[in-house]
Amino acid sequence: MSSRDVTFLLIEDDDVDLMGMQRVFKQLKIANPIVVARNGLEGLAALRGEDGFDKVEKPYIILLDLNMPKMNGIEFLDEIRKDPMLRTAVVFVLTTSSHDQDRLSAYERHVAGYVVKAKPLESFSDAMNMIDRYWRVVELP
Amino acid sequence: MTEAASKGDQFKSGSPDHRVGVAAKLRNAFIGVSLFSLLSAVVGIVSFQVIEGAQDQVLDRSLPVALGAERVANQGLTVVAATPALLAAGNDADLQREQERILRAREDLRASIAEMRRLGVNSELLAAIEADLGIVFANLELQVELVRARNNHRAWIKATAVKVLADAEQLIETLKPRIVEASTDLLAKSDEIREELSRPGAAERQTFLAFEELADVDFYEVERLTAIRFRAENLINHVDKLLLTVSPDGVAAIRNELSLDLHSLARSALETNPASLRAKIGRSLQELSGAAHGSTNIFELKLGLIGINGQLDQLSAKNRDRADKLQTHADQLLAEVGFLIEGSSEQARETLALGRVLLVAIAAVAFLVAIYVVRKFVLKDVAGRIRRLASITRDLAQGNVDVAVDVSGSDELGEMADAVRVFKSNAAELRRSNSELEQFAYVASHDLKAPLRGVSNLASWIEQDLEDAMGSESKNHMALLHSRVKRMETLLEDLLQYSRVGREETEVRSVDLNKLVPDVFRLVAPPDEFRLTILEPLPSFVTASAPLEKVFRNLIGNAVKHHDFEGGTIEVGVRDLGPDYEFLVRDDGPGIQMQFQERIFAMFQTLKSRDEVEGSGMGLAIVKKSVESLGCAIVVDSNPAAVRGTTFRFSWPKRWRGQDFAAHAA
Repeated sequence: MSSRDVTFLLIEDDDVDLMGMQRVFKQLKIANPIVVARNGLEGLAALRGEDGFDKVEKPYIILLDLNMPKMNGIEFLDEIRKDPMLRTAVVFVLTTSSHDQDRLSAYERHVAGYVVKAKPLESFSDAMNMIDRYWRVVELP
Repeated sequence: MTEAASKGDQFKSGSPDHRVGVAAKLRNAFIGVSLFSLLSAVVGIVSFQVIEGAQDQVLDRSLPVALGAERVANQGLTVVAATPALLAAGNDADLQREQERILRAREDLRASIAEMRRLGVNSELLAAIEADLGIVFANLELQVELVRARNNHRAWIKATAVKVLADAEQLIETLKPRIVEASTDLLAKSDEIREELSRPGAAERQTFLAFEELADVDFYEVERLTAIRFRAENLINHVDKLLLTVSPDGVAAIRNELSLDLHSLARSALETNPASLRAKIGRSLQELSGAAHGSTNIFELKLGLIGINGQLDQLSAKNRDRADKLQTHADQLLAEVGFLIEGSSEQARETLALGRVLLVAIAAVAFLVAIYVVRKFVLKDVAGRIRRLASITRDLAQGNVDVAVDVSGSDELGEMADAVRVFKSNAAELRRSNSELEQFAYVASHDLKAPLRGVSNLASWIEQDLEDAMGSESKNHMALLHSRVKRMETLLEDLLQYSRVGREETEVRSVDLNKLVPDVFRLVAPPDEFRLTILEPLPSFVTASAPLEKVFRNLIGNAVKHHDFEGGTIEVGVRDLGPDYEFLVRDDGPGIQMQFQERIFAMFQTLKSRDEVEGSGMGLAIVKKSVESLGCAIVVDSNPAAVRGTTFRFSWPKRWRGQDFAAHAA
């Protein structure tokens, strides 16, 4: 049990998906702080407190989409795994891509989980449920 | 395509060093090698001509010389060997014959020697031989004269001997009667005496005187006459002996004896009575004396004869010696000539050896040149480039588009290399465009799907938020909206799959269809309603499992989807076609009408409206592309007018090809 609430860093470019995620948060009554970045670069800036972003403080969990402009999910993962300050971050990939290659690439970069966003938002709901429990049970770095 | 062609033209210049086609190069190489071989043959022939010439020289010159020398020697020896015949010539006719023969021999020899001189033999030996022969013939000439003289002497001696013998005989004949007479007288007187003695009282004195007379005169007379006869007979013996004697000492001895006998005869003759007899004896003695002591007395003659014979023998011996020398010289000359022949042969042999060396050298040079020519022009140039080109095209075929086309030339091979460059750029182009397509399809599916998802989500939220306020019609509309969105997603997904067919990496492993087909069936068909029948044992082989499974899933899925009854039977069978298997999937559904049997394989084609049967219409298109990308085929067999059911047959390779290609496609 952490004393502080986990911050969720959502890195997603699609408006509707974001809306969907926020709806689920609301439904599940998840009140944790949420930071939104629209792509990998913004995500990094948020983690480092650059470019006008407030630095996201630990503990945090990153919810990462893969298909994004400027810097996609895999590239973002490469970057944070290189950075000594950021390499221990817990990342859940939430993506539309069921491509084996993408999944493999994500796990090669040590994601905590890989969730495929099916169209019905139930799956996202299940995923968020799981993550909600996850951060309460697990000790984060 | 035109772009590629123009790029190809750009490469066409090639390198300008050879301007000759491959065939021409090979032909030139071949001609070059043949020419050198010909050259070798020519040199060989020329050498042998030279040798032949040398050998001819041996035969034309040296051999005749050798034969000539041989002949000279033989002729010389023959002449010498014929000396006994010469010596045996007892009369002028024979002697003449021999002389002629000798002259002929001399002429022959002169000619032989001249011939040898003409042939170029100038040896001192030849001069020596000539000298030998000169001496031999000179001796022979002498011998001829001597033989003539000998014959004369013999004749004279014979004549004289005959005379002497005749004289002696005559003497004896003369004496004979007187001896008889005297003997008779003696006998008569002795008889008388005997008679007288036998008479008693004879006058002893008279008788004694008579007896003394008998003893002295008569007896003595007989004795003397007998002695003369004896001596006369001795003369005959002496002559006989003289005829036989060969030594001058013998002659001298006989002469002495004969003299003595003559002397005795003379003395005895002095005392002979009667006077007439004495005169006859005297005459005979005169004759005999003349024969014995005269100027041409028999002894002189005999001595002369002995001398002549001696000379003849000497000359014969000289000739024999000379003949030996001649033989030696002839042998030496033969040896000399032999050296000459050997020299010529040696020359010929040397030429032969030289020719052989030359031939070997030429052959070696020809061989080396041939090797050089073959290596440079054929192997390196042609074969080397062919091999490189083959390696390049092999690499390209295997999908390595980065291989360097480093063959050039303005002959056929250069043209081939240019063409291969075009292929390579085409292949690279193809790969690039394939990869572009892949990327496009990937991106398309994501980027096209995303808004759809958004639409769907928003629709859901609207539904949720306005659930109470929404009328049933609106709710219906929302449902339709969802289903259309889903359809679009399915279509997109199928399109993506279609674009991927034949290009994706597939796991190639051992697949047992007897397990896979029932698994696929369980996946797509409701278990209670449909039944799967496997007609014969299906094969288990190594192939790409995913594409094959997809094909079965599509076909069996279609069979279920399009069935008009609640349930039915699906059959799966196989046939061995050699390099491929032919599988069949048969159902007992409504069948497909003939006019639609082609359409069903086209993209997005469904036979029922999408509201009746949910389907993107891509299934069979994907199956067909899948099968055909392996070089196989799929056919449909159905005649609903006659009988229910549809049979799909498709072939699949036993050995997974395209593995290398697919691996390099990414």
